[in-house]
Amino acid sequence: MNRKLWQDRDGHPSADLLLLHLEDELEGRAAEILRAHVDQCAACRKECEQLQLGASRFTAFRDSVVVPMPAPRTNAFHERLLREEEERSSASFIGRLRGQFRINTPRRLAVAFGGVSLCLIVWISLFLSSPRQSVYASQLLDDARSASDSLIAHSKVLNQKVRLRRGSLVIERSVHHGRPAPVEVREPSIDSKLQQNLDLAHVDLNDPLNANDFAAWRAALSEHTDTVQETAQGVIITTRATGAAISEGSLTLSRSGWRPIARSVEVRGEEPIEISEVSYDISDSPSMVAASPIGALAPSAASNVNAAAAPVEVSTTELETSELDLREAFHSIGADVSAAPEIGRSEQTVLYHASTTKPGEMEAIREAASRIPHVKETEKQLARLAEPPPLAGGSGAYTTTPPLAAALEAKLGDAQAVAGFLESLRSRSTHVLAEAAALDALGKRYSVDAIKALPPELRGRVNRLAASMLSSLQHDSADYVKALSPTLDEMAHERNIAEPSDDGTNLPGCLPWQQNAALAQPQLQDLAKDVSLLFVANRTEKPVVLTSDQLLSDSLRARLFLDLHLMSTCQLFGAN
Amino acid sequence: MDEQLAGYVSGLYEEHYGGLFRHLVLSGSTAAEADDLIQEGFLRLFRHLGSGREVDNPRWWLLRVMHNLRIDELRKRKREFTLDQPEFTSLIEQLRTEGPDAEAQIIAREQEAHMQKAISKLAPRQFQYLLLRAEGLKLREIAAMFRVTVQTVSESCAKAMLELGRVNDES
Repeated sequence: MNRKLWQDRDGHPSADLLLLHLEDELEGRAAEILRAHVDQCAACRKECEQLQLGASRFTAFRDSVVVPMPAPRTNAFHERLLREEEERSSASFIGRLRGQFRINTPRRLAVAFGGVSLCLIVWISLFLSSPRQSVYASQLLDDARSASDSLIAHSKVLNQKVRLRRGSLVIERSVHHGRPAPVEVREPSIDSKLQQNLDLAHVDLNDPLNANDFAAWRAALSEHTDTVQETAQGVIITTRATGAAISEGSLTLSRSGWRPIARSVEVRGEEPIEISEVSYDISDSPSMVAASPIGALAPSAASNVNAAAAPVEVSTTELETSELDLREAFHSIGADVSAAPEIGRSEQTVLYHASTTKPGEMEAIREAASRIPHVKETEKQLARLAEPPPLAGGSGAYTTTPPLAAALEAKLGDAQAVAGFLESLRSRSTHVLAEAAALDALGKRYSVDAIKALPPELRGRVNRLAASMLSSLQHDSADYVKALSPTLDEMAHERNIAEPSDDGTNLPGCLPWQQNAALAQPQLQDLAKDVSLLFVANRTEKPVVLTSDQLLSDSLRARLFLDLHLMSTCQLFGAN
Repeated sequence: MDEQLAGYVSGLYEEHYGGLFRHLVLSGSTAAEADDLIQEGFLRLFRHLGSGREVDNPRWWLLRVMHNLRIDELRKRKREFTLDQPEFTSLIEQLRTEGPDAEAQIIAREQEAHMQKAISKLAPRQFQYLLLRAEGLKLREIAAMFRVTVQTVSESCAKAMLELGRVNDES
């Protein structure tokens, strides 16, 4: 490095050199020259101060972010390390065995493998009922208790709304961990048999998801086996009892935070009791609970309602939850894209309208919706959600001449290959446009401000749904661009049309996903339209002469934007 | 290999879990991915130490290993860095606002709002570089991780730091 490099900055070193100087990453003569300059130059010292200020602000920002975090499962990890060591030892042991028993031909190896597999099957069956699963279950229950204690230790209150179901009976409770225990309330409408079963299963109606109660029930069993299963929602501990009235019980812990989110009780010869978390939030102090979104749901035990006896008044949070359940259900069966469902709300109900030509899809949509409370189908269209994807054709009096139709046929060989290629592009383009429209519709329904107003649990669910939709959109857009690119690039190359350069203006940086969704749709539409005009005759209202160069340039620009913006840049998921 | 090493690595796991988890979530991993990466990273540390090799700074070593694991995973998915995990929800909104009085708190909130805006405008790479720098990595170490030159990292970081440093001057 020498002073010549500084000339473009009027004799001052650039900011990156100043940063290298500040970080002690320069050596030798370069370091000396720069140090001497900075010592004498007030402007550079000021710039150094700004660099340091920027760095400290970023660090302060990072430190102030609170990420919901599960408690480290150190014991489980320690066990895993020991298991790893055992596996390593056993691997070398197997090597020794192979030598000792002369398992040195493929046939002998296959026979040995078969024998070992059989042993493994037997071992796995035994393992599922072995004490190790019990140890794991105990550790998880300890983790759940530690997580709860940790919240209380940090002066936090976990507010949970919990629903208990047995057949048509529904009971709801608001539970606040970290506050003084409420006065015990007995539900007047439950029968004595149910109460007896709840007592046997150690279920406290005032706190039906309490991990301690589950642990107490499990500990009281004279003989039991445990299984632990990991699912997308959480970790399920299932305990089967031998010879007891309660044949089986399970407790589901959320993956983040080890919070109990569901519990089930199987009673021999009777309907099972299902308990699940409806919503939750974490507040700082008891005084905040009344103002929290779920605090308003059931501020006292007196408001808990037996649905069989009286209609339940539907709260805003319940409607929000049902709407989100519906959106997630539609997304999980792909109907959010293929059927473009419209979802709206009345005072007490979530309404949806969907139409599809896919065989069996309408039944699947109705089936999914029927499982969600407060949801009804409506015949009326609720709102126009998205523009339909553009199609080649049009209805004007003039026909355009697609400038590269002949070139495409020459490239692909015959008209049939061209038709196949264009149909493949059209199908991909229609699909990604439908995906972009669905995501955009979700973004318009859940704006940044609307998400801020949701309880944290629902907020996370909206963001997870959007992340999943965006991930599909990114994947399918990449597939579409990949199918289109070889032809596009070849034709651009033949016509000496340069790839638009990435000068940074195409990179808008991190945007909320709602803005990205809104930006992606028109770009996809432009690309589809340009490609269509290049290869397919269209009808227009006025005579138009299409130039291949302009259309190719526009296509390349739209593709670059999608590549840089939709598929590569970061997306912010959060109420920012 | 003995229980002593397992105990040592488990102790490191307990000590560094929170910081690494947060770093990974801020870098774009979901909670589940972060948990998996941490477990895998510590397992590799366990194997590394078990084979008789040494690690001067386990935290940096783990950051590098987890970064590489994450890159491998992203390459499999053919995606660049993204910050698209739901856990990113808390990133911008959960800034502390501890002012001595209401007026100071309002000013602090405004300043934070400007900072949030500036940070949200950073390019993904700038964000990643600053995040790793804030973890204590040298610019040349970051450059090695991303297989770019030190000058690239330095230019990118300097630009971002100047923007953040000037936030309240411009607002």
